[in-house]
Amino acid sequence: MQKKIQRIGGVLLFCILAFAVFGVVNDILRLKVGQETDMVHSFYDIEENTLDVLCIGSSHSYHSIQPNLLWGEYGIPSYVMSSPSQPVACSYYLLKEMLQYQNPKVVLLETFSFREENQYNTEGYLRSAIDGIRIGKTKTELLEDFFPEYTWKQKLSYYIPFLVYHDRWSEIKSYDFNRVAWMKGGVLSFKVVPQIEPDFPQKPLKLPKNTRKYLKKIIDLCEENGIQLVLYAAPMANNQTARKALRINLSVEKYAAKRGIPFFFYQKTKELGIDYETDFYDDQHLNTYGTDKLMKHMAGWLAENCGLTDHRQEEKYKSWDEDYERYKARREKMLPEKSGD
Amino acid sequence: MLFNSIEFLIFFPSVCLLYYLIPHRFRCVFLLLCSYFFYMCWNPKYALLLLTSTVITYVTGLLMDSADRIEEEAGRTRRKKLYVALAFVSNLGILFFFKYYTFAADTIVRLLQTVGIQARIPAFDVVLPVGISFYTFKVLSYTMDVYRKDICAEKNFLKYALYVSFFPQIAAGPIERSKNLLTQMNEKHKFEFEKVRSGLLLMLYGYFQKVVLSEYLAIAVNSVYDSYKDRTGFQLLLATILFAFQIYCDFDSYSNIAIGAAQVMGFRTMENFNTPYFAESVADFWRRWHISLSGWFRDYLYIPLGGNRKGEFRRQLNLMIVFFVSGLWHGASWHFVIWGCINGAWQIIGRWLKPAKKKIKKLFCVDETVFSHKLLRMLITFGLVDFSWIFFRADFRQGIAIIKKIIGVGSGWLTWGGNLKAMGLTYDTLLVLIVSMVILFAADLCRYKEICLRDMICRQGLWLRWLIYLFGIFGILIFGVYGPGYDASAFIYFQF
Repeated sequence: MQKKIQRIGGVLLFCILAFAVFGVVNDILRLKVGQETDMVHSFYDIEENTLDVLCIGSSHSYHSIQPNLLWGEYGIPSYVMSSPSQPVACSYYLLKEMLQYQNPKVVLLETFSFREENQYNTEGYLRSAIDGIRIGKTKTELLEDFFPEYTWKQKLSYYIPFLVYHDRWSEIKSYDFNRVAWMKGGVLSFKVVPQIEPDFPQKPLKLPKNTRKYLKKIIDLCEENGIQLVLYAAPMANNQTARKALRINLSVEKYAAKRGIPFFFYQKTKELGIDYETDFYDDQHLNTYGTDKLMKHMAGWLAENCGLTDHRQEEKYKSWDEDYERYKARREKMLPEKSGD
Repeated sequence: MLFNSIEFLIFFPSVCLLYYLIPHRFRCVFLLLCSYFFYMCWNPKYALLLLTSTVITYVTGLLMDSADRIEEEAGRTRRKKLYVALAFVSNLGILFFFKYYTFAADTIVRLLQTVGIQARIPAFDVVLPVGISFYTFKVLSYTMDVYRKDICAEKNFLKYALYVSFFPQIAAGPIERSKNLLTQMNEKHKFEFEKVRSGLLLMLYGYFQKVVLSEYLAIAVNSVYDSYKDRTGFQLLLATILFAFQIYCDFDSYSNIAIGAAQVMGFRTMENFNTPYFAESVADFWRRWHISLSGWFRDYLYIPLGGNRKGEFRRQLNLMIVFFVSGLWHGASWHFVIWGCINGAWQIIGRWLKPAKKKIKKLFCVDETVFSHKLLRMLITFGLVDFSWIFFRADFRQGIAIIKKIIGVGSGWLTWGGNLKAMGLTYDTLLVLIVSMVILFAADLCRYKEICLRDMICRQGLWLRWLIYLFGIFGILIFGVYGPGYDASAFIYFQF
């Protein structure tokens, strides 16, 4: 009998050990959205019900919103849960997931992906957005919505992303071991790629059906939860995708005005003072100089108009100060004149 | 349901758990239902074929048993032969229709065309039922064993049906003999920790062979063979060598998983491979490769044909007949027949050259016991067997073109990186492949030296045992070729 108990105990212990090893291996091999920032996954590190502002959208949102800056200047706790080419359908489900853990006052939604006609662009982009979502109601709902025809087996890899990422072993980087959750979804980049300002379009493009559908769902979700939804379009350089996005934004402007939703169309108002020679990271996104300009305006507006309070003296936000110090130190280190670039 | 599918990873532990939990008297029915469920996951309709074969051979078995009670010898033999013929004709008829009809029709049409006759034979678009060659041979071996009175006919239909459909073996063998497996159906299997652990270890090794080794080898082989016209002789030579290991790992992995799975449930099944590439002659190779099939052909075809009892010519003829049929068993295509015949021919040529080899050995005072001599024999055997594999992997015309290119091997040497890229590999995947091949070699060497690695591992201290288990599990999970985008490729031997 004793031997039996020993064996059962041994098997159980081995299973626990195997699961623990699996946890470690899975964490190393899984996809890190935004590399070290690991934005979707790191969201779960934030203490529950501590965020006032949530930002969702495509890469334009993490290249334009810097949560540490918003904290350092105004004491507003925020998080960017974005992913590359994140369409509105994904943003909706990410928001739904976030609201299970946080009770924000404001949701910022960047509009670059409003031009997407489908629920998702490519599988890779879809996985960037949703693989980090924990197994639960939201993920199940999303998969049923996106893939009604899929069998359980076809959906399995979305629940267990390891099935896809196990072969990342040959491309492991240092950030797979050291993620910087303290960036809170933001990125830092001082790379400068001079750009040309696009001509401002006159003719609007109709909002795609899916965008309307999921934007309406986001609006409803925000209303249900008493959240102020704010739309904004980060400045873009002159390229075909951007020109299409600008035309879409003309429609967004009308749509937002009709529903009384604030919409910052920075390309149109030119209020940020963006310098196309210095403020772009590539032909699509702002660099940190551009982000600083956008944040200065956005943070000021949020502080003044959304009734957000300064949490800097509160005990439960102590770690935010530490994170801000880390952010400043890294920023200092990365500044081109300091690093000698 | 493939062994390397997620369904099986759910199915198998559930079956094992329930198997040990339910009372012994229900286990046979339970396993039978599980086996039919397992089989029906491919195509539910084909379970009817399996059932038909089972019923026919069950009834003919009983009839032969009753015929044994006839006192008059001539009448008894006549009756028994009639029942054997009935079982053989019906089962081989089903096999012929589903596997060989199109091939035979096509061959006849072509033959008639060569003499100027245009013929049209009705075509049937049928999908080959999984494992039909395996279970047909299984039921026929039972029929022959009952006929020869090696075993008594099984009275219990459920037990017999389980013997035929036993899920670890139904799709790709081993072609278990009734003498071994059928008798175990009456045994009461208790949960024995050591046996279960040993079975699981064997399954783990089988998964390593399939998911890591065979799949990486398949990448390299398929990259080259699928576009052989654009490949150099050197690349084709490499791919041909690698194919020998791919097919070995692929089939041995299936056998190991099947044997391991049976062992977890307390069943002892026969081994199917015994370090075939350590063979020192082609005949020796066939004693080590697909043992259950080779044994079947030996007992139910070669020996009834007269074996080696009727002179040298008949011996050689019988050998060629066996390998001709063996080739045909592997696939309804002439290139399989050619592959079989080459293997038969190697053995006959080997016998012809025996006196000359003897003279040479005497002349050079060759010591046959030394390692260098054994190694040379192994290398030559591998070369001969590998040559035949070309016609297993490619059809006749492609095979000839590939051989021509390989003969002109010198002209096709490329850079190291160029060859690697052409074979669909990277430096990282090559490293995994090399390490895996070293593991395979080490495991086979232990087996060759009759060292049971599993027992050795199980005797080690807890920390080392667990470390080995974890390395095995996570080695497969990380480096294995599986997941979305990967078409859970069937085991090569499924097509037979």
